Amino acid sequence: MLNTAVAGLSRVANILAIGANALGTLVVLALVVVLNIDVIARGIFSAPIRGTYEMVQFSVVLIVFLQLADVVRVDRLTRSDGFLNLMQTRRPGVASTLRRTINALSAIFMGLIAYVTFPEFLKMWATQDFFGVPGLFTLPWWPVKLVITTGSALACLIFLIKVVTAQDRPLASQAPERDESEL
Amino acid sequence: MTPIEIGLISVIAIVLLIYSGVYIPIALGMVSFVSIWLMRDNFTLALNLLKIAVGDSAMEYSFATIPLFTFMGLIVSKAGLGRDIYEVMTMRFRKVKGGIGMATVGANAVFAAVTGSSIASASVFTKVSVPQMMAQDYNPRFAVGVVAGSSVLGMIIPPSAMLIIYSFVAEQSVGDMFLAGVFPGILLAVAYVAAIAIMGRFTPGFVGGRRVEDTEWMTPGEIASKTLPTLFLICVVLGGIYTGWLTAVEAGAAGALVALIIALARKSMTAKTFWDALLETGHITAAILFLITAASIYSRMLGLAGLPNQLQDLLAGNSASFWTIMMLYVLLMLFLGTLLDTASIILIVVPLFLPMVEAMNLSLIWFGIITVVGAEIGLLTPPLGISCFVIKSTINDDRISLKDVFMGALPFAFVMLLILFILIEFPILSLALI
Repeated sequence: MLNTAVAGLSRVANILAIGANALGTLVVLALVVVLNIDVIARGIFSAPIRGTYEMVQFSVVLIVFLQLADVVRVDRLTRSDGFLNLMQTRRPGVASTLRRTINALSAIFMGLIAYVTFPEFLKMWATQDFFGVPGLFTLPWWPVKLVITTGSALACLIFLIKVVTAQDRPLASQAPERDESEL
Repeated sequence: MTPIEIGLISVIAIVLLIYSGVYIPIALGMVSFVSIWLMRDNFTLALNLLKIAVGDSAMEYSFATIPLFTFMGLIVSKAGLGRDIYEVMTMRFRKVKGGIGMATVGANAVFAAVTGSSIASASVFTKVSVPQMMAQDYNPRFAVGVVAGSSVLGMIIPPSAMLIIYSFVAEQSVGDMFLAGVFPGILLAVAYVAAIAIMGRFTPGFVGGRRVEDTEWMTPGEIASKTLPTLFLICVVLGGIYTGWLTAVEAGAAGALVALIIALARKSMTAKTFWDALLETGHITAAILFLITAASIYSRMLGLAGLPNQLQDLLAGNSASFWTIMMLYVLLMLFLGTLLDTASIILIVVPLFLPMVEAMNLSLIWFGIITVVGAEIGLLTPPLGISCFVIKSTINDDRISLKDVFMGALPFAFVMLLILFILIEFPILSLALI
């Protein structure tokens, strides 16, 4: 009973994470496109696009918090797991307890972030506050705040599921691409 | 407990937690959060600081350099530019003892100017260069050592992820940091080539290898088609930044576009690889920027604890000389380098030392180059030399053990240390272009 519930929840969380990830990926693409149009428009036609600076700032936050949950899902968050892997072969029991503890700690931290940023979203939603220079270029604040809160909450949920399943990486479904794990 | 004590205990706790396998951003963020709470005995204040750090620190224009240069690097790797440069270089160096090793260093240096990643360099050149060296009877240890050693060039020669990360912590311009990395990177590459020549002369057994019979020379047209795309990309990125025509962010976007056009022209890009590169970019960006966000909570915590100022008083009060402080700094980085990855070392150590470096009237840009080179030595040293692990897992050959990789990389780690001291003594090497 509990197992099927967790499995179902895990499937939903994974679908959400993959969806958010795809959205974030489109933001990366948009970033390349907007900046190049701006450089060309400025260099050749001396007519820069208004608000490029603000759009870039926004897109960075969107990329991070849209993709964070998926990064957690495929276990690509930065860590140094030499010791854990060593324990895995010598004392599997200890290693799995340690993994659960680490995931619980991570869930608490992501939960805290979601908890402190949620009121910010409500405030921005209520006031419809904006960002940028009035009259030139403005963007509403609330989408950014919404993405930060929901992204962190989703990451928290995925960590919680990992506490229950004691499985750091998704099973056979998708092998994590370890090839170029660092920039 | 005094704030200083809490601060000290947190730094130690962070290092221990990271070593036991806790995700690095979680360790930084969680410990800092708890210690701010304890120091001020105020839970709400700690929550507020967390909120400000998350909301504000990610909202940074220059952060966009990370996805853009990552994307460019991934596209360039997939377009096979690394292999091309390597082929041209081998042709040039093949008559010399250890020449193929020198070619690997040279190709790595050029490839580094279009990617920001040591990991990318290590995996590309393990596939391209090691089999060829083994085929020419080079010592396997030497073969993997050369690839490991020269892969660190990826993170020193701009565009480099580590220079970007440092520029955030120290609040320096990304463009300036890139320009500062040019000469130190070239110097290190030249030192590697010299080291290979010396090893070839005095310890030929370690190098191994035999003379190759004459092979066909490439036609000038072939050479041009293999080198010009890379050179053009370097001109766009570094030239754009140097002339001030592009900001570092715009240079990243322009570089990504040019790389994409090159890849399309060579028909090495499908819709699938394109999307994969985008996804990979997103994963890397989110991981790095979340790490930086967590590190900003940590540096706020250090500030509250007054630890950096305390450190400054301690060292200045004992009127420690410039070299004493530098030796301590290098030793600390080497020690941490045995356990942590380069980005974490930079994010943990730099906030502690910044006030002191400023008080000593030293250049923060020069300090950044010292930090990145020093922290990079850790990529080559056991037990956690990340470059060495990548090579071992890419090569997938039972004849070469992880120990062989580390032993082979050791001479190169030593050369790096030597260059580090030269860079410390002569700041002009880092500051010439700025």
